[in-house]
Amino acid sequence: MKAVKLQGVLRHLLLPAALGWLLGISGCAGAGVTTNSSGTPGGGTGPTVTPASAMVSFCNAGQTNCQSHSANFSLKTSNIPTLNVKVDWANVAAGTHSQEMRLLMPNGNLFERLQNTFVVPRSGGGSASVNRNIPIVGSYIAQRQLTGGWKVRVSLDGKVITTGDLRLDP
Amino acid sequence: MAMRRTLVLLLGLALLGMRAAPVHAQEEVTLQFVGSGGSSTDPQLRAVNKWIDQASPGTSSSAADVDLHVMAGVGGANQNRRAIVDFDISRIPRSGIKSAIMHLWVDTAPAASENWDIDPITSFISWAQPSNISWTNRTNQLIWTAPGGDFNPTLCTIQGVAAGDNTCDVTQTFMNYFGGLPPSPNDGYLILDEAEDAVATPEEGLIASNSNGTLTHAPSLVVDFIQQVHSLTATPGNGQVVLNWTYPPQVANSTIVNATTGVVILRNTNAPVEDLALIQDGTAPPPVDCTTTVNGTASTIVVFNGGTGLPTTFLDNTCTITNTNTYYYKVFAVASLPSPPGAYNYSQNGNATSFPAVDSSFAAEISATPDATPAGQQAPVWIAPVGLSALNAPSIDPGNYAIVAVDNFLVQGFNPTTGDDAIAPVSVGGFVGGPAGSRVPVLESTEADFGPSSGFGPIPMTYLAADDSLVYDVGLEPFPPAGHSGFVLDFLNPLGGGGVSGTYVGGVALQAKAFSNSGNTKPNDVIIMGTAVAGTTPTENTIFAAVTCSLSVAPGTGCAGSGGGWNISGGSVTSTGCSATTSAATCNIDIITSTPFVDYKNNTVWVTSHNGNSTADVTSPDVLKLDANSGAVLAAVSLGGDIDSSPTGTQDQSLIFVGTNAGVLYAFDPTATDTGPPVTPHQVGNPSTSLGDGAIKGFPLVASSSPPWLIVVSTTTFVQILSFDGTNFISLFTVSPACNPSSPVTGPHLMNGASQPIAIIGCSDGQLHQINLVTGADEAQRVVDPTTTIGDPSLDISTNEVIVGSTDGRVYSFKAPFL
Repeated sequence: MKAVKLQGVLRHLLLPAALGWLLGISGCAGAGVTTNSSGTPGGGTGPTVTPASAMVSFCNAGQTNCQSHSANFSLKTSNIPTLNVKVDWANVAAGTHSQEMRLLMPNGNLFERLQNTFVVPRSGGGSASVNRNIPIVGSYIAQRQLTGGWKVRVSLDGKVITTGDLRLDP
Repeated sequence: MAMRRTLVLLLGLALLGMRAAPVHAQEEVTLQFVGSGGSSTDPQLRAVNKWIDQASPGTSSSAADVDLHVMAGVGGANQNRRAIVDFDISRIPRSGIKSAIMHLWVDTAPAASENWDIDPITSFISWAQPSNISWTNRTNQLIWTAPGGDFNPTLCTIQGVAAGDNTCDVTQTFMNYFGGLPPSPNDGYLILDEAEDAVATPEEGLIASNSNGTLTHAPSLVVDFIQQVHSLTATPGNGQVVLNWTYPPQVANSTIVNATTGVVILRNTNAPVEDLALIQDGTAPPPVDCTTTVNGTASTIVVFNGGTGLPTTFLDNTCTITNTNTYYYKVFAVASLPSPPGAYNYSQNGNATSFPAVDSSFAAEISATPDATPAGQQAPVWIAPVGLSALNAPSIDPGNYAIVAVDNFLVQGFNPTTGDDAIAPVSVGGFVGGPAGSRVPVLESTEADFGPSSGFGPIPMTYLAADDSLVYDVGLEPFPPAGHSGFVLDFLNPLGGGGVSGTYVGGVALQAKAFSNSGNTKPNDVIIMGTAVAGTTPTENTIFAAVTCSLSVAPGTGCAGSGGGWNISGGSVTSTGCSATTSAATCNIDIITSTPFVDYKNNTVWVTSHNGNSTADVTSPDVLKLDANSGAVLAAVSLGGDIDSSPTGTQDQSLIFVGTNAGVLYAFDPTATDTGPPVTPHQVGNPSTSLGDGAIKGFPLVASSSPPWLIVVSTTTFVQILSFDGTNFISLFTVSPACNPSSPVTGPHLMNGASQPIAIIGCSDGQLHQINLVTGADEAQRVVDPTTTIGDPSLDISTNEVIVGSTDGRVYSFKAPFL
């Protein structure tokens, strides 16, 4: 189906009016044209493309100058009101996309699913950022001390792209 | 002649037998938009079919339009057009979905060969406000995140759209509606041309709408499914477990595709049957030898009934059963396929080799613990899978509903007696906050009073706050054999935005008109709650009340004669602190993570909050007492730090109790204040000493109906039982269940076998614990799921059944007492 979709898009893009546009954005945005919606290669013999990628970072939304931590971020559930989870996307095809974030507990159970729609403009170079706030203080995470190593699994348009690690301490 | 009589007799007996046999099968129904919803077999009352136009972004298409427009425009010209179809799927019970095919009749095909994508919409749209859906808006108050619709661009494509019937396979999304992991809300589908902004000249096609003159051309969805078995129970014995179940009736006006021939039962030991335990549709099951595991999991098949008749019971004693182990069962109905011989479809979602890679069908599940002694033989009354961690207490309408609102964008309602669906899952727009206080209120139809302007008759209601900063009121129409079921009646957007994540942690408090005295001046039910908008120095949170007839929180507005709602926001500090006689607060309001408490007798609302963990700062209270009619701050006080637990009252509402994060209990007189400034609520007696084990969770449970008051609270590792004699809190017992306990629950008739009052807690050891309130003993337990944390339990006071969720994505019901 992906290949057929690609052909359909290319059929229109090869029209003279669109061809110049294609040539004009043959960099990052061009990569979006020749990939499917998740930014992964669409096949064929077209130019080499970079798959969509994401970086997950965390910060304490209750602190001044919230600092991002991209790896092995740990926090105490007793003193962080809200955890901010930020996903920075790169090499994503232009258009509307659906991001899903799954919060996996230390025992692997699924705690929450968070879904966002975002738009990558044709002039955006394939990048975008999505922020979500997750209450900690007063929530079950703090009250029931659901502590240990959590994972944040991030998907784009239904495909898992990356997983971030987070440590919650009592 | 004799032979003919015999044949007639045999034929008659055969027909009699056919009538008597339960009908269960792989069924097929067609959901189709029909005019204004006039079909008695498929009303599609809460369906939407619209088209939206980039060139007129604020305009909604007319309900009379005979066609839905889909157009690819020239890049930069804003000419794209998209169609929206949202089917009312409540007619289909919880099932294993075998296929879902969308049919779109194209009246006019695009001039060039176009490909149209059909993608699931990912934002809440209101079926009640179709005239507000446009390129910019999804409801009257809410805009799309992405103009033109929020969607997941992954589903299916109609290749080379042509005039006439066009089909697309939407099975994947339909599987998710019926128990995806986690389940997905049904917000409909967006239909768009793949070549938007990439054509030289506009390419438009027209899809017949529900207003098309030919009803059979209206958009339709043909769904094949196998219903799950119902009322699954397990009875443990000595070295054996007996399972029983029933088959639900055929859906009205469905077509039988493949007859059901029985069930396949999977079993796992000391953990639920895994979601990966799948059998490939179209094949025979693995050997029933109790040792061959299924699809690489630890689960095995303990029985497979194919052939004649529909079994409704199974004695599990042939495979090795060890007393004191807990066995978990999952039951799939199986439908025999015409070919190849011996092949079956199963009431599961997905296959072992295709999407989704895990079962997400909400198949019937049960567990049991056999034992040599009757006292050790345990089993839940029922298990209901919900697909996501469910730690908040289910809401019980005895005999009617167990409402579970977990973080999966859905409100689910189960029959509290059987665990079967009581309503079809209701889609809301954001995940529901998962706090201790987020038990949602439930009102029966004779109790709910949401005003005359809704256009609905008396229906049961529930209210909940979601992560998209909206508050939803949900009608709980019962699940019918055909027609409609639960639905979002209305929603509230008090912060004026929508999509603000992390807005609510606490739950919705309800001031029901049916339970109010004459001092309540509101004409209808009122919902009251507080926000938890955290920043670097949160001081401007809001407490608000909305009259349910209009869900307005603006003073003086709303339904005619209602006087409207009210709201107070923190952040305007005066020297007198928070006390005021007007509706405007004059203090800081930090995040509110608890559910407000409504004092029906005195028509006041008590709210606890954080206060920057400050002590004795009159401008930053952590307890507020408000006038329920106006929102005026009657009194406020700082007890010396943050508070996450909710206030509670005694049964006669003569005292209000508050438990703090410092582990201290306070009692207040609900009718008295101490003159300030600032004006503070009048404390009764002395506060307790710190319980010394962290914050008090949930709320202080008042377990007696008269003084001296028996108070039960859970802290980090203990359940603490205290007495309050009007002057002092006296510690009676400190119970150590050797785990992290939930909030406790008790009931007026919840006694153990010795007629002593008990309380039940859920624990992080995967068990429910029975606490004796007379002796302080942790005297009996029930195994829920040993690998998970158990949530806040609820009690069905009509049956003394404890209903509780777990982080394993299931809700369990156990009969109490355990001993």
